[in-house]
Amino acid sequence: MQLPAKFINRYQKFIPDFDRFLKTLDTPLRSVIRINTLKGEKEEILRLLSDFKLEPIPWYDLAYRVKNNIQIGNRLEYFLGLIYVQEAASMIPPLVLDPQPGEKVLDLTAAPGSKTTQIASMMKNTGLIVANDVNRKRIRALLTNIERYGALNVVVTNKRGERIGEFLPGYFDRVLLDAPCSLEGMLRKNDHALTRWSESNILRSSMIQKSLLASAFKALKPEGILVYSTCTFAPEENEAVVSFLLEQNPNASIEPFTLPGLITHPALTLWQRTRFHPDVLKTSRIYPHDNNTEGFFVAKIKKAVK
Amino acid sequence: MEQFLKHLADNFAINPELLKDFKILKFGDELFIMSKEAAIFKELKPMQRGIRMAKVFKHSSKLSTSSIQLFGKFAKKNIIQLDYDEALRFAQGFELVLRSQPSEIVEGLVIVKYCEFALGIGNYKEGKLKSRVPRSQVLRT
Ligand SMILES: C[S@@+](CC[C@H](N)C(=O)[O-])C[C@H]1O[C@@H](n2cnc3c(N)ncnc32)[C@H](O)[C@@H]1O
Repeated sequence: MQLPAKFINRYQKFIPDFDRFLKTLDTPLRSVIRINTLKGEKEEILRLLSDFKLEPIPWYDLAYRVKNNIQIGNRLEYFLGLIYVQEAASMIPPLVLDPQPGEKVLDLTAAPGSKTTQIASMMKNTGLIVANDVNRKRIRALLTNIERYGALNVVVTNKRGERIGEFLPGYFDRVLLDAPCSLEGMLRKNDHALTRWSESNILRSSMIQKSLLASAFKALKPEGILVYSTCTFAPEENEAVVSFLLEQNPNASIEPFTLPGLITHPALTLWQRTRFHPDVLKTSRIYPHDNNTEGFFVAKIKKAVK
Repeated sequence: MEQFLKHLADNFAINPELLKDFKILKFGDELFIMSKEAAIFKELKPMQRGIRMAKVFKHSSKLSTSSIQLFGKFAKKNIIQLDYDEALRFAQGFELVLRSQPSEIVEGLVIVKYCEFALGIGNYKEGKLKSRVPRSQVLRT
């Protein structure tokens, strides 16, 4: 893969084991499936997949990497909504969010619904998930996925995420902002991600993310949990966005997290002469070469009562 | 609504009690099934709540594939059980000639299953089973 010199210059400064990182970007990813427990017991569904060579994903007991070549989209199990194809790193933000049955959850940028459907399973189809997205075309895919998955606790809305905090302040127990980003972390899946890569695009994304995160935080109840995630390596879209929220809101703090078998790296404290809020160090960077996944950034944010 | 639940009970012996944790609401000519909390959420002009349950006409209704795949497993009558290859062809939208005639089946709409999982609704007549999976949902071949 031909990476722009600017990309290399930026990231070799802080991505550990950089040569292995570059090599990993050139290795294609195998599909990962998630078992839909809203439709049946895990064992019962696994029994139908006897010709799949499955390798468990350590951090989620319902996820498996498919090691042989299977056209998953042509399978009966797919038609039945018993399995959902989703990258293993993309399952991390909902696990960190840890939604509970009966709660009110906001998925601010939800389409096409990988994380929405995972959250629906975690909540056992109870309570409420507001799955919002600004893009109508992508909402169509979200609706198809919700239908096939059998997610009954989802309400789909089509608003600018920036406005939801002011419409519903303090309403949700948990909020997920899986933000639109410059997609660098997806390079293994899709090298088109690079064709639009530029530093100005990163800065533009960062501005949108800051206002989406402010809205997400506003929509959160006191004592509530907000997870901010991106699939990019750019500090402007990760640490800088979280740092901005922490500086604006003294009642926001970061909680560290760990997941079984998942290797993470602490975030940066300094980037291009900008020093971030010290709490940012508790957020996590997830690199493709550590866990054989896409790249991700995840921050778990708590809102204090006052 | 009552009438619709009665239809499920009469035709497929699906006990309405099993759906009591959910709410069924009508929007236009369609019924949607959702969690109770999703049913009371009115903010932000929702585009959809829960999943499509059925389309209702003046004297009948047509169950959706999505809802049958979720609740069809509770059916106790008018069920046709298929093997893997038959199930695949059914999911692809084909008409099947069944190898053996199912007993205790009233000709007409049936719930079609593979193992314990419901695939959708079919129309059964004289040994033939026609898939009612809508074109937009059929499995690619
Ligand atoms: C990374 S994707 C979300 C993926 C999704 N969470 C999943 O797991 O399937 C980001 C989404 O944000 C949406 N988006 C972009 N700008 C937005 C805005 N201002 N308000 C709401 N959604 C927005 C995009 O349409 C896109 O679907």
